[in-house]
Amino acid sequence: MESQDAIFLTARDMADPAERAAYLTQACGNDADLRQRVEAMLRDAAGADEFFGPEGTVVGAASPTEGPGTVIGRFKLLEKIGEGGCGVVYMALNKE
Amino acid sequence: MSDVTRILESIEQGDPKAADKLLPLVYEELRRLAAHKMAHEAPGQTLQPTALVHEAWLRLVGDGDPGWQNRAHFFAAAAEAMRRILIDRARRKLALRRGGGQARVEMDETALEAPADDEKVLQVHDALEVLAAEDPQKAEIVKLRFFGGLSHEEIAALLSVNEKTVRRHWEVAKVRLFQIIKAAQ
Repeated sequence: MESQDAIFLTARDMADPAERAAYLTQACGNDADLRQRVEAMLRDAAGADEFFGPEGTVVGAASPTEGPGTVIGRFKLLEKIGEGGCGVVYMALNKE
Repeated sequence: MSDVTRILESIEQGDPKAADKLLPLVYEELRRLAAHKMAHEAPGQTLQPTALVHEAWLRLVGDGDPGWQNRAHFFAAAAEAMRRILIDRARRKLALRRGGGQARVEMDETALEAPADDEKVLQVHDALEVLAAEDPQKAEIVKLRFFGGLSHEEIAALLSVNEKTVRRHWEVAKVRLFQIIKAAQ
């Protein structure tokens, strides 16, 4: 029997719902758990693609390191006045 | 010969302590490169793991071809180092956004960049541990891809499997990770 991964990947490429259902019936046989798992994966495939984006890398996730001179909204960071377990504290100028 | 090249050769010759020395060196170089990039580029600049990892390779190993097994050791260490750097950075930024005590003003959430991406880095990091218990090879592929920025082709060469296998694992791993993240919310 085909593996769960293989069934999922084959079914995902089938655009026609009837064709897909027929394939799942044939591939999963009497294994209702398997079919349920594959169907859950098919439902989540679009969400996963959206979540990871086309590249699937973390590119763009990290923005510049903050430092004196960095402007965050209406605040301009002036100097670092402390650092602790949960972050860095800056004295900042409120530009408004 | 560079330190890293020497370490790679020791790993190749079976020195068990050599691998432990590789990660800190690669980590330092990547951290330094990332900090340098951030200091010299315009605000809004993003970190490109792919570019950083390849630049670190050129700087630490050079143009010579030390063989694919050495490449594999290096890029596995680089992906791990990149993961740690990105996780630390995401945690720091999220902490900063939430405020670190003192007399603080509520900041406009949208003023700070890409909060969703920082959350995402941490979510994938956590979900990856679950996936690693289910399927170590898929988890390794995700680490090389998501955190190391390596292409399917490069990953295939590193893990000595064909590219199609990597692609299939990746397609399945994405869905599993998404499910794990969804279940955790």
